[in-house]
Amino acid sequence: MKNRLRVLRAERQWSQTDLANRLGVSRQTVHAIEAQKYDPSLPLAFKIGKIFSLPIEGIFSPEEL
Amino acid sequence: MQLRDNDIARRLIVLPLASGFLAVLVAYVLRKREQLPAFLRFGLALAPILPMAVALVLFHKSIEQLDELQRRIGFEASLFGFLATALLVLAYGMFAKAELLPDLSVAHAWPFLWILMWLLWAGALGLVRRRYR
Repeated sequence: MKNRLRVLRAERQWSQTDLANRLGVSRQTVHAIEAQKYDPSLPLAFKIGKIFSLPIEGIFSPEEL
Repeated sequence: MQLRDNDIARRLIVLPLASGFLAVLVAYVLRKREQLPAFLRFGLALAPILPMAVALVLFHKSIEQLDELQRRIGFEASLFGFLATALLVLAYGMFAKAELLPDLSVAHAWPFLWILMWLLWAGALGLVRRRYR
């Protein structure tokens, strides 16, 4: 799964720690999602969407698309 | 509030390792059990159980505070530690049956099994963490 998390975070000038605190997860988890080494659960994906005011498909997309 | 990695490592590694070390000492002392009164042997036998019980409670509390990735990492490391220990014990047992290794009793081997299991778990934890870095 590809995602635009790093770009969206940079646009808001948030550090990984800032985003991690907003999501209630560790910085390692934010880093792993951004590096596309870990796909978040649906609840966490919805939380990410809410924080960036975007639908999930506006942040995450399948690898083949 | 998320636990930092160092907090988790300290809670999950140090206490069980300390307990394992204590268990080895107790096992060594109990080898000369004929010289010790029964109540002292009872106390010594219980000694490693207390830190393990504390470790179990801390382990449970730590899991509650982990996020989903940390839980996955912990699960993968625990599974590896458990299965790798089972594999090594099975292998040792087969070689012992074939009379290629000494036939150790569980009473003598268990302190080392604890240490082996926790070392394998800690090693696996490091490797799995690296995968998500």
